[in-house]
Amino acid sequence: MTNGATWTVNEELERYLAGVAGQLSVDPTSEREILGEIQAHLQDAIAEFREEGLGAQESVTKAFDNFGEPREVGRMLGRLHGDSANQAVLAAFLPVALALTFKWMLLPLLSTLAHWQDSPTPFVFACLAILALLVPGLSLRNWRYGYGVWAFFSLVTIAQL
Amino acid sequence: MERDFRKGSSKVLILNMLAERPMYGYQIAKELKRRSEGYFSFKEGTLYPALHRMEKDGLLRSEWQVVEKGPSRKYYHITEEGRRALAHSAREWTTFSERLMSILGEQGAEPVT
Repeated sequence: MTNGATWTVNEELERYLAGVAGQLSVDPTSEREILGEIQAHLQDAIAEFREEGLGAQESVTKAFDNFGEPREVGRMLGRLHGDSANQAVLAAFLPVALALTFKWMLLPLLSTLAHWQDSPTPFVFACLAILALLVPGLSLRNWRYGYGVWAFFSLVTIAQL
Repeated sequence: MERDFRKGSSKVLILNMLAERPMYGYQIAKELKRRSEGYFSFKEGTLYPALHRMEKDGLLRSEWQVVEKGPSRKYYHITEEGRRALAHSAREWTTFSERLMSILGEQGAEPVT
């Protein structure tokens, strides 16, 4: 196989895997694992067709055809691993819930117990709350169902600051 | 109808092969096709949702093995629960097959019109 052919095969593999990935709503680790498994399968299939004497393009086409339409494969896997979306919603909600609990329950309690006159750390709290809001966004990708919930609770939290 | 039968039997076939030895996805697809002489050939991409489902259900467990030359592979192992499910499914299929054959046998395997 020439370098040019290898480059083309890799590019086509990446395009196929991107088609699968587009339908997955899972965390990055699961996505890497799922795509890695599919990639290994397709590489094995392509190598075998090449050994049988097929050309690079023909081998790729046949391997993809045997595997199925990437969006459909992605949809099936996405449905199966769909729990990740729910976990993302939970992950999006938890920091906000903790931030609100911190502001409305812990701070007043501490203020009462320690006889603080004013809320001592509004700026620090604001920074912590905003940082907490960023956590799910940074740690989870493709959690499209989480965006709406995350945005809503972000606005609620910021409005409460 | 035939497609439904094949789809319904995929679980027991996969468990049966993995009861012999751990395998990775491509191996399972190839072996299934070879043993059934192409009868149980399907879009290979449908194999992975089935494997992942069985893993979620505790029938299989998986582990990645790094290969010196070539891509790393995810091997599937059957669990004890998977072996129990295989035994149960195998009994069901045997009963189904025997009952069906006894009826078809009575009819001389000719469709009733």
